[in-house]
Amino acid sequence: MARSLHCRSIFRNCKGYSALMATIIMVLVVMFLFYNVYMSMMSRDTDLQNIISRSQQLDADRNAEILTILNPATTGGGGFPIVVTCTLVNSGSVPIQVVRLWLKDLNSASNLPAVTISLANQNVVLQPGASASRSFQVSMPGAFSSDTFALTLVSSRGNSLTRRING
Amino acid sequence: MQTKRKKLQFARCAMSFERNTKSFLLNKKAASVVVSTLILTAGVLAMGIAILYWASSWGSIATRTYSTAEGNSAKAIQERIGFEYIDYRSNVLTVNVINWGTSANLTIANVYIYNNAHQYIGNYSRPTLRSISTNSLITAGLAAGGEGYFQITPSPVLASGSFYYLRIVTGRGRTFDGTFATL
Repeated sequence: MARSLHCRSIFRNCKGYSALMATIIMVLVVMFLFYNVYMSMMSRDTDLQNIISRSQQLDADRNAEILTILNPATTGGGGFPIVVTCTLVNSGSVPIQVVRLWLKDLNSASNLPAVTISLANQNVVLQPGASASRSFQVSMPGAFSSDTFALTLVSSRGNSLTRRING
Repeated sequence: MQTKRKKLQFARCAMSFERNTKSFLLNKKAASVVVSTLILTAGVLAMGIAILYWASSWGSIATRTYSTAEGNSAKAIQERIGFEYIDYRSNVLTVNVINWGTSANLTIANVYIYNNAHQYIGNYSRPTLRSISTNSLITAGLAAGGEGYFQITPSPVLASGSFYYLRIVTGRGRTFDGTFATL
């Protein structure tokens, strides 16, 4: 009898209901907020993982570039532009675009600075396994085709290849 | 006789139901408890919604800050510098570089020079970047695929016939190492 009276008084007593409801609503608010921030962070982390993967692919492609310069030769000079001819071979597994040429006269007597030309407009593009004979005109006052040169070609992926051209 | 009894019972039930209903509707006891509970509930809900919006604003600030930080990290990860040609003459070091990564606006914050024993020689902050083709100033940094050069005057003068390491630190904190030799 005493227990049933006590139970009834618990159910009929309305004290504390508002505090209970406020607590429940507060917990729901916090959980909602946590869920939003957590999902946003997860999606950003996924994006970052994708970016890391793409940048690793950049490095892999760069390492896969294999360019060979065959039979480099120079003509002209003596007041005329130096004409550099060579055969380019792409032995790698990715296409290569050569974007810049550097030519340095190695004759210590002349002490000429290196000259450069941009090859971006000349579309020097080699597919994997392809080879092409190309010639490039470089203005180098004071140089002669009989001089010894250092020819450097730079690809669009930042690889550079240097060959000596004996005069 | 039985029908009469049933009718009487039904009438009694109806009267008692009517009496109870009237007394229930007219009894004002506990009305104040109902009203007060409703008011409390409305107040709690209003407060809860206000707190929800306030907390959401904090959450969006945190999300935005995290996104910005991660965006900067993503751009830094995609930076790549290649050394095209490094020349040293008359105590001027000219470094020609290409931005072969996918991040635009690549700037150079610092350049360090080390000797062949990896001993520190000097550092040079914010060298001026210029275009290789047009020699014009590059203010916004190298675009993706862009080429440029900068010149620094090492102090002390570099020894001739020696091998040196060059380290470039970009504006986003990435480092790239190259080497060069003096004649």
